[in-house]
Amino acid sequence: MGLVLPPFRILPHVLVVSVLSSQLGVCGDEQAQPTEMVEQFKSETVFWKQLEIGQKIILAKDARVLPLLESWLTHPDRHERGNTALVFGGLGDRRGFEVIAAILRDFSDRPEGQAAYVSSKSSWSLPLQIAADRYYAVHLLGLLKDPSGANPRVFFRRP
Amino acid sequence: MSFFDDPDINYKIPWALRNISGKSAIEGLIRALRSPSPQVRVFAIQGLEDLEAGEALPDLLPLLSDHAMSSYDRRGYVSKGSPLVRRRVPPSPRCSAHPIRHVNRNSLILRNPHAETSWTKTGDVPLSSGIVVAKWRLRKLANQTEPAKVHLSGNAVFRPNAAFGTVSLRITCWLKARLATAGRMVAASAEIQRGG
Repeated sequence: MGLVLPPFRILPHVLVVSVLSSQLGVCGDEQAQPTEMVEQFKSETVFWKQLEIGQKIILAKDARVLPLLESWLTHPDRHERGNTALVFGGLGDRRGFEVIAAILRDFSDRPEGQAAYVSSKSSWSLPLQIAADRYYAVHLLGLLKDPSGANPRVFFRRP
Repeated sequence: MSFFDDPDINYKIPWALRNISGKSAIEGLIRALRSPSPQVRVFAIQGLEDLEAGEALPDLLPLLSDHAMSSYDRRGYVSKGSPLVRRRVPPSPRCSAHPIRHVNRNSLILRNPHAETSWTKTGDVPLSSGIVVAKWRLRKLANQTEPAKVHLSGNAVFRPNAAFGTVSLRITCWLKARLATAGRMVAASAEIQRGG
């Protein structure tokens, strides 16, 4: 019964992400160069803050930063991997969508990541981590928005 | 099997599809209307409305007799009614006699006066979130698809204190307003008097 109501156990952090995402450009260092933002992105370990930086990188529209992030497309933390993939997808690199879609289908074992806790008193579990990572993947696909960046048919067939 | 059947993520997919938009996204949202999860169905209806997907009207029609409860209504605008529904009366099969007889891109035809009267008498209590949201969205979608053929039959009695019961009546009242705007009110009134 551990995953009876995943929507309400995982949703709050995504709501935070949504609110912060909508405030892009309002807060943070808007004058930073793309390469500087990549360094900020890499040093940020909180996924929703990292997402915010990632979206700023996308807004800068400088695809030259992608090689600096390429190794992060296999980051063990799926939230950070997904954020990296969002940057790739947002800058027109097809690998972004593919990596996020892969997270969506990924039920494999993994180390402790982010957003898998129901509350501060709860303990980590692999099923919760997988659910949180896959939920975040759906969120990222929604953030990609453009049909050319995120193919809606990814949801049509589950492997 | 699709991800729409996956309870870990299916409630989030309609939101993502709405953001992605495009024809395939609408196709996905229409699929989501058939999800076993009432919550997913409600979110799908919302997504279709946001995308102004008039082509989804025929697929929304069956939801008018969808009596499933959704946990969404605890947080959404239907929250005022649904707990009341749970406490008072179980879903009634009589609700299937909803006042809309036929919907497609070009027409929205209401039932005869007796059927509508029957529905409005029972409709203020046993409706659940799925049906309420469906009606609400249908109204908006129909507004965008400019129904060319409208049969108004029966006299709508607006009941402002019966929040759930007024949803369908709002559809009727809205249709009248549309016809008046189009300068066709006289013709519609004649049709009402003839009994549709």
